[in-house]
Amino acid sequence: MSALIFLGIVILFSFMVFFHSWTNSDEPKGQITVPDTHGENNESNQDDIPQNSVINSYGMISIPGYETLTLRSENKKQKISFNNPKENNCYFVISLYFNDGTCLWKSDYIKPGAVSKSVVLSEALNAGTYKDCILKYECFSHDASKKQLNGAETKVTLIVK
Amino acid sequence: MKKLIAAILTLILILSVSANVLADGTTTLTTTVPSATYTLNIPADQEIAFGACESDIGNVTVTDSAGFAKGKDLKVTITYDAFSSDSVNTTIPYKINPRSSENLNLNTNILYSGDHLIFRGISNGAVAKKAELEKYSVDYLNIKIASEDWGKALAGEYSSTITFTSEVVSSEN
Repeated sequence: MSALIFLGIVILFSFMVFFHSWTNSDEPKGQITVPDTHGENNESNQDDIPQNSVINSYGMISIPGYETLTLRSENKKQKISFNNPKENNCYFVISLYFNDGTCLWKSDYIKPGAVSKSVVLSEALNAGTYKDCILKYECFSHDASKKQLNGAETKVTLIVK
Repeated sequence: MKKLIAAILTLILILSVSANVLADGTTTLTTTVPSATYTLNIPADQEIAFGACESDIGNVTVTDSAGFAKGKDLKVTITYDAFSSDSVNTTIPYKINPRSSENLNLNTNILYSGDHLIFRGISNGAVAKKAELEKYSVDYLNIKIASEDWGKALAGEYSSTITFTSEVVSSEN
């Protein structure tokens, strides 16, 4: 009986997740579209080209910034995660780079309001203080296309102990 | 037959309980999200009308800042490349012009790729929300594209991403 109830809950949950992702509207993409008008007289088009065009941006991205991050020494598994603020309208992919350029960790896509899995480093670090490491935020549109948007990097000092 | 049915149902029950345990196990790891020192707010993206020589793309600001030591500012370096397309080999170069509503005479400044903005530290351990430009606040960023570059661009979809790199630095003055 409990197995039937469990199966019913799984089916209902799967339907809810599918329905939610299906109804998510696309966000407008930031880009330039150059129409196929080449071959026409460019001089005659100059009057039609707006010289000043103020376009409202399609939203902002909030990026959490850090001056320092504390990590566990001699251990790849860390007890920290990183979040994507709920007010954002984009996915995050967050990466942590050592100051020699080594990628220590890279997240999966993190949706707005969600938290990454616990950080598991590619290599354990010795205790110490390491300046000029990079926490990189790559941002992607919150729809099926996952188009790359503007991004950010924050220089951090890793305190490993 | 009854024993076989009972055994199958028992196996299903065990598997369903095990699935619950496995699902619950992944949520029991104890992790923390470190408190951010500041929040950097950047334009997500921007749509530029064909032929537009100037386009406002919003602003880069800093909010929720705390714990900055005295004499520390936040430096934000901006890097970008020309608009490019996957389908054609022409590019559309552009420049970023930081603008102030307070002093329009400053609106000839250009932020080339690799240039930076400074957000000044203030006495309460925070930093200013807007970047400082020659003692005035930067209120928005403007993309400038020369009309001759529009003329050279082949038809297609072009895109460009801007990366904002932030770091805590010692005040320069």
